[in-house]
Amino acid sequence: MGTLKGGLMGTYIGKMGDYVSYYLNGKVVVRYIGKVDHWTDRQLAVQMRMALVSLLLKPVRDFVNTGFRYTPKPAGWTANSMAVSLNNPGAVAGVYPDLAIDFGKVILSRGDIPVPKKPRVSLTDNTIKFSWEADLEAEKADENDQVMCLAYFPGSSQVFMILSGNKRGVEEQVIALPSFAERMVIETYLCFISDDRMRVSDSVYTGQLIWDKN
Amino acid sequence: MGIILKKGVIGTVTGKVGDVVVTTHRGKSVVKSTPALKRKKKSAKVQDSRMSLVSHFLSLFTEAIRIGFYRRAAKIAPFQMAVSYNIRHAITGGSPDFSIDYSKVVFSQGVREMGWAGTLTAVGKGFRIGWEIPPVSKLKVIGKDKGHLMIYNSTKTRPVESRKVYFERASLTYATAIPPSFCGDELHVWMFFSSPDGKIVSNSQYMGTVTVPAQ
Repeated sequence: MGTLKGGLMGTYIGKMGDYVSYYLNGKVVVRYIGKVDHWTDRQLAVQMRMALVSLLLKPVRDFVNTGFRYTPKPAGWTANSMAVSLNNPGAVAGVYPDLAIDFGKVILSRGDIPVPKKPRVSLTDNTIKFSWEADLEAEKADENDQVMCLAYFPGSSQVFMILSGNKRGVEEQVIALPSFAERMVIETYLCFISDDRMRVSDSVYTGQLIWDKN
Repeated sequence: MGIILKKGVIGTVTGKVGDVVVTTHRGKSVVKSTPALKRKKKSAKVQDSRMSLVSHFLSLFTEAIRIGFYRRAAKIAPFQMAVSYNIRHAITGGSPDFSIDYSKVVFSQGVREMGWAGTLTAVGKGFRIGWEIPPVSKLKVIGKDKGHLMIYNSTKTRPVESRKVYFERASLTYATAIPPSFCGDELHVWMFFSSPDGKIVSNSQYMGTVTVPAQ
């Protein structure tokens, strides 16, 4: 990354494209640095982790934008930068080249509302049922909190999400699925969002469901 | 590489002039230096056969690919992107007997919802495809999406010509007739959806094979 010295249109120090500029004996020199044609295994691991996390977050963009909108983050960061930062390398397990997403560690929202108490998820017929305990007495919990839930299909990178679900007191939220014929793995997540959309809870991983009709 | 923006005093030139070649590429006149002589290595032939296999197959469906692989910021054309993806993912077999794995061929990539729980059945002189819209999906947003259908006859190695008939996602089903000469042949069917303006697309999905009985 370049460092701007000497004001606007001043001196760049660092790499831009194929050129690198730096101080040499008190003078700024710019030279061609060419292209990288070899990566070490550790560099390749970084690249693969980023590829995995980008693929993971692409379909849940709306969820992440809501989940990290008001999360404290450095200036200039977006909700997506926060999500990438928390999940890379946090949600990637294994040693290169056998890296894979650990869905149990994926974080999709972060906030100060307490997490859903005793979250459970079940799959019957074509319906995913999320349930939790209302826990209205907990500090920072409000009866108008709504649930946000997500069903993630890693095989096809598709999701079903509900960003404004039932109220906390209902203790239940249902997602109706299409009538798949093939075997599907479904990863599920749950969190709360306040009525004014300013506060969320941390997301919780509610487990993996396997849809297998045959 | 130079690009000729205005016509010169000598009119439009194409071909080799000294050390340069003048050609047209995507409607622009382009001046390039003459290519250096290259000796083809033996391994190059293997790549060539894969390349021609994929690009010939995909060239039957250029119309769909121009929508399915369109990226506003991309530096390469949609067709090149489609070839690049499919040469890496949709080829099976070893050298020199490469073949296309039809179930892995991709005609579009995007973030739009796919057609959930797709079905394919032979009906009368054609076939019918079906899909679902689950209650979670926003019908108001995706209901008017256009469906694109790709049909390939692997017995006669020919596509079924698309007649630019698009169907709406909200209709949940679409039936089409096929040419009578294709009855009894194995047909491969793929489908994807695009937003009404064609700018957002879903991933394409392989619906399977169908054989329409001869009558």
